[in-house]
Amino acid sequence: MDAKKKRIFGVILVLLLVLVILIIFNIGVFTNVLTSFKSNVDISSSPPKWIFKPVLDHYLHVFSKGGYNFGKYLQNSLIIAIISTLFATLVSIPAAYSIVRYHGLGDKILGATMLLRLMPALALAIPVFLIFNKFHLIDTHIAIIFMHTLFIIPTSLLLFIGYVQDLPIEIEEAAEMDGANIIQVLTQVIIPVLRPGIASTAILGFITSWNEYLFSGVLSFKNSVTATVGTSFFITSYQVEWGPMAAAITISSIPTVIFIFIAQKSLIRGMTAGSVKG
Amino acid sequence: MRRHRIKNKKIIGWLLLLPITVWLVCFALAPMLYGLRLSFYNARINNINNPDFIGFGNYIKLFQSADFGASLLWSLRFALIATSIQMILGILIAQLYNRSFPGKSAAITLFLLPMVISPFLMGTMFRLLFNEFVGPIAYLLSGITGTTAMLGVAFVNSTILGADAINRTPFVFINVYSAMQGVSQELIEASKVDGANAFQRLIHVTFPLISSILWVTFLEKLLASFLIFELVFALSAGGPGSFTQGISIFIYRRAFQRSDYGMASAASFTLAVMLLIPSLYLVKRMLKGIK
Repeated sequence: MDAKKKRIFGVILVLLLVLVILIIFNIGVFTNVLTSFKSNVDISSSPPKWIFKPVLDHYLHVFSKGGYNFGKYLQNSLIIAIISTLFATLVSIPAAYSIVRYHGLGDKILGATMLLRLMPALALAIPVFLIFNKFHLIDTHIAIIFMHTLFIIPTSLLLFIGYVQDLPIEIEEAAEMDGANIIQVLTQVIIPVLRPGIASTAILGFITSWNEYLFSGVLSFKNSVTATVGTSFFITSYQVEWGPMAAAITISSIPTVIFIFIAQKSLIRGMTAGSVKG
Repeated sequence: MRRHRIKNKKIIGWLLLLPITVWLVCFALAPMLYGLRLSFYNARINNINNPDFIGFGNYIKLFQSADFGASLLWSLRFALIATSIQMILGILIAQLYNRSFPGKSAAITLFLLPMVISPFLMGTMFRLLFNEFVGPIAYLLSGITGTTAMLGVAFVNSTILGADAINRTPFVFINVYSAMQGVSQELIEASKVDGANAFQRLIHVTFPLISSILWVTFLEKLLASFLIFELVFALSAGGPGSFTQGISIFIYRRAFQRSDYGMASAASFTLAVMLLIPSLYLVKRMLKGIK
């Protein structure tokens, strides 16, 4: 009886500690969501109000304010994230297959992509800005897509290598015996088997693109502005519109937050790729 | 026939690598070489098509500038402190989570939540929450800090460290936690029988078994913190003045606010060279884990 009591006490203690940690780590996000529902008077009241009458003004404002086209920014983010993820997947699958099944040059390419992940992004941002400027690609979707694809590739490649390593080589050999060429092996054998892996890798790629700021910001000023970049437009030289800004941050965070709830496992696999087996 | 097949196999292996190679060359290698070339020129927005060659002029100016040295020092200090805080917190929280308790799956998801939010949005969010006049968190903390000026000279570094810890500790946590899950439960039980307490078990049983992952995570975190840009840019923009100007903000300001592309390129290549050896070492360690 005494041991059981001690165990229950232990569990309660762990739960309490976990609760405190979760509050500390999430109070920022929570308070930001609260702010987005406060009226302007409540936002600037001191001491800050924790109980107030919620209003939707800022959300309406964000979508309807003249010249500030948040709906368009969200649409840009969506287009850029989906196409970048698609490109990165199409580029990474054959590369991963080559690295696992055909040895040689692949290892160098793998090393180069991993090195890319660690190098200062600004060393790339300056020349890329100038080159794209020369080719009149600034403020186009495709410019941002080219760069986001590059940043999605390293993690995608690592994950696909893991998935291909787990495949039994026999099914490919059987297909080759039947006279299938490499394209057929990839499209009719490998890709269908990898489908769940592709889906979770794509989610990570989407988040990478959606969250990116430096290149999206440098390469756009009006037409191809993404939601992440667009939130900063509420800070001008004259004033900061806190309410709409909080609403814009909340909206921009929703897709990534949804993904972590539906795809926690693949997210963890992606985040730990490279280091866990090291 | 056989030799023909082997040769064929090699060609297919290369062809499969072609798309990724094209991407890396066009959007990483070529721009970097162009950037390297720019670092030897006086290149500004008005003469970018016809810049003046000045040899090592940018590098000489760079090493003489106190601003550059101060930025490197800020980044170095930030990287060491932020990484230490996040490693300790990440390990302790992973140890706390490394047991079964009700609602654990949801608790993991909620702990990872700050990590999936863009660092730029996180920075913008904290800029609001720590605002001197309307920030609710600044107000809550003013009981301890005695002021709400959390982005002033006295507290801005701590604010950045705190915001980054919230954004990035989950990364350390998830790596350490996944590694701990791989440690055999039998070993832990055996050491319990031998009378080791929780702390001794962590130090003497778990750590040696996950030391390689801890080391890789530490290095990866250290490099990333050294180059921190988005969160600081959104939160303090390097200010007040250039008080929190790390090396990435230094380069950004030179390039995109002063349009001094030659000088900014020189700074980014100096940085790349400094980071090359630790980065190559880290890549080698990671590759060993993949193969």
